[in-house]
Amino acid sequence: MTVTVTWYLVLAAALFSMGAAGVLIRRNALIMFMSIELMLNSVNLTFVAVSKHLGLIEGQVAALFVMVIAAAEVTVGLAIIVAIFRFRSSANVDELSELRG
Amino acid sequence: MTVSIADWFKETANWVFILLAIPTLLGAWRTVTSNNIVRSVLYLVVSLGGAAAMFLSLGAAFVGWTVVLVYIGAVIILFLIGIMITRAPLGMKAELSHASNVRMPAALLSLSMFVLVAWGLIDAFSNTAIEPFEPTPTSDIANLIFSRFVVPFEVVSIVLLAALIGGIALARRDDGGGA
Amino acid sequence: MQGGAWLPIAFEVVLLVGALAVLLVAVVAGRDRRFWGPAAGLAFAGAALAGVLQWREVSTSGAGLFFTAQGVSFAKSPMVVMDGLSAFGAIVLGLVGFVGFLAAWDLVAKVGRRGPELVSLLLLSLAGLHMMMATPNLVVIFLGLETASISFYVVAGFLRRQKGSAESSFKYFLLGSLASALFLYGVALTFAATGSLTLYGGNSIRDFFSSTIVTQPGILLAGMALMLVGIAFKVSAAPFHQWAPDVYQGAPTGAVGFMAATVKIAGFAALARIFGAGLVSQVDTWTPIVAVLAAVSMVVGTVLALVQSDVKRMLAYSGVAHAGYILTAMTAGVAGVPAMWFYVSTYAFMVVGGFAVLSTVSGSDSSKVPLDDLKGLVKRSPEMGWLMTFVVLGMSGMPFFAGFVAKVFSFVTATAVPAPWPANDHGYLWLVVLGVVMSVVGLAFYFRIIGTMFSTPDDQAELQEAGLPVRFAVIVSAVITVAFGIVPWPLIEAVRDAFPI
Repeated sequence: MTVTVTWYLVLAAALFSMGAAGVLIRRNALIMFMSIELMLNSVNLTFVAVSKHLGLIEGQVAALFVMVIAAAEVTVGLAIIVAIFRFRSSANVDELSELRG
Repeated sequence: MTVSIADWFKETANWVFILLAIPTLLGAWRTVTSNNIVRSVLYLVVSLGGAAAMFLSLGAAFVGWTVVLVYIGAVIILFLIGIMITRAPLGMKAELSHASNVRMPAALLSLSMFVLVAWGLIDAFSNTAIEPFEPTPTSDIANLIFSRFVVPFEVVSIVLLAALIGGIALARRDDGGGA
Repeated sequence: MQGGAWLPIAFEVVLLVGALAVLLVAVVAGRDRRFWGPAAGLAFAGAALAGVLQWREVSTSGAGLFFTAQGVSFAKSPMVVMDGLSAFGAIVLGLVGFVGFLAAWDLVAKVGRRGPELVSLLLLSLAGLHMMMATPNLVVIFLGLETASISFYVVAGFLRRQKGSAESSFKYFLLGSLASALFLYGVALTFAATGSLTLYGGNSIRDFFSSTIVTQPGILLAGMALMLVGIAFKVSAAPFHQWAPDVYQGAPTGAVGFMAATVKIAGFAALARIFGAGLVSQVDTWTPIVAVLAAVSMVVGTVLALVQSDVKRMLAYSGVAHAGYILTAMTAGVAGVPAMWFYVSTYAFMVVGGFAVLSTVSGSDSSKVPLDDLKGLVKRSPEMGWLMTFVVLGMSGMPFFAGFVAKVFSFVTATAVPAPWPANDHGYLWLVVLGVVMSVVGLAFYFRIIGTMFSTPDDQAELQEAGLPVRFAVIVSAVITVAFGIVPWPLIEAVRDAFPI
């Protein structure tokens, strides 16, 4: 029994679930944001592992595009977080309670 | 067929995988659970570094080094700057997480998602060995991006333009009135 | 490069050129909106014109696949597809974008020097949204989705000094990124299950299903479910709607109509492309899930809309319910595409018109619109009051308004083809019954809005005169709502050809 593509894929699934749990459980904006980065990274791992398994390069190209998107998302996300929290004392989501219904 | 532990470790690919999987998983776990934001960021570096090495072990050298450059090099710095600007608490803070009544369902949801997906993956892909370490030539990736994937490449440029405009619009100081 | 090869991406190219032109003119000529505004208007109109040209090309010489490697035939590995779905979507997106841009004209004045940035983001987001429905490649669908999402996160938070706007932007950003990540993981798992990222062409997902019997469906199911969750988030179908009320309420009123309408158009078109056309062989698997989403959306949207006191939140929850009615059409699989188009294209104008009226009542940069703001609107401004009445009646699905035809079309479609689960020949009859009940219940809050508008105003203060572009946007929306309610046949004829290949 040697290393199979399943190992990589299951590892990626574990990373993805951890990231999802992080977004749902944590309430610090930056940590939630980092959890989303973890999720995107695990998607890349899935793409590359499948691409290796099938002998296609498409997966690697897809992973590169995802990385660019993630970087763009980080830029905008941090701009938003900075714009909101510049004048507040912490980055906790609970302090955002303007919109209720 | 029974395989002894010793046999198992004779395969280079096996212990390389284990060696990389442990920091990747632990780093991700601590990123999500740590009560100290700066530590969270540093654990994210560990996890992303492990993932980058994994890309290398899968032969995706270009993707692996891009992770190192873009994520570990740039994105992490942005996170640290974000922490500084928002004056996020740097020490131990228990209040960075939701109360336990939110925590349990969320954790169960994530766990069940993992179990379902992992079951599906093992069901579909068990015993399909791959040949690690055989690198994909970067020129193949380049050829693919600039031939078949040229349209997505252009779309990505639109995304970056939108992010650029958006970043400026949100961060720029306003002199001439307006909100 | 032959001339025709540009046509499939003409919509995106026109909008990109327009966005760059707006920014350049603003730098060269000055930041006054009179200088660069016409460029933006021309870009939206030109994009709609590109859609018309695509429509003509598709109806004369048929649909086609485009943009692959040099020397490799288009059919082998396409990146752009031009068919009824993408061409009709281009026309609708272009027109709704144009009207939405006019509705945002007063907001542009209020954001001061940052106006060009706001409008160029709207232009770029529209290009991304059309990319979602004009490509057979799942990764490109994700890229288009992100183009629009990233632009909209910023637009929602454009009024940085307002707490509501910033908070709305942040919530949209976190939940939207989560949805994007879920959608993307669905794409990756589908790639793992089928070995392909593309819906049509050689070695495609369709080819895979025609040549393979799936024996381990677990991973494919997970992939499909995650993609569906991602799209449900974007079109705000329950139970993935939690972001919508907060974002609609907090975002600048002048731009909410644009954001809410266009994202729904593209989201449902992408649903039709991925599930209706690409995963057509799995139709028995995904229609029951869509039916459940539709049922939950109708109930949650209608019931929660009843208890709101803010008109923007009310319209947000009504949007959730409308997502349910549109999903009802999609339970018929690809046969539901015409009904989906009729519903979403008329509803988009109602949303733009409705929010445009709210922006004239409470200010285009407001983030809260309590119901009392509408009090006595018909007396204070008969024009806006009556037009808003038409739009709200259209949303409520009253006969002789477009919403009624759309609902009937959707319900008829859902019962036209046999349903796989529970297996019967009458389709999703239970869903249609639920839809009719919820339409009746929904009348309560639509008439609450209308009743407030017809009540006696507290003060006789005249409503501040809205700008000509905004009034024009409201008039167009109301006219479309009424016209397609009384004479729906031209549009019904058109959407019958708006199929994905």
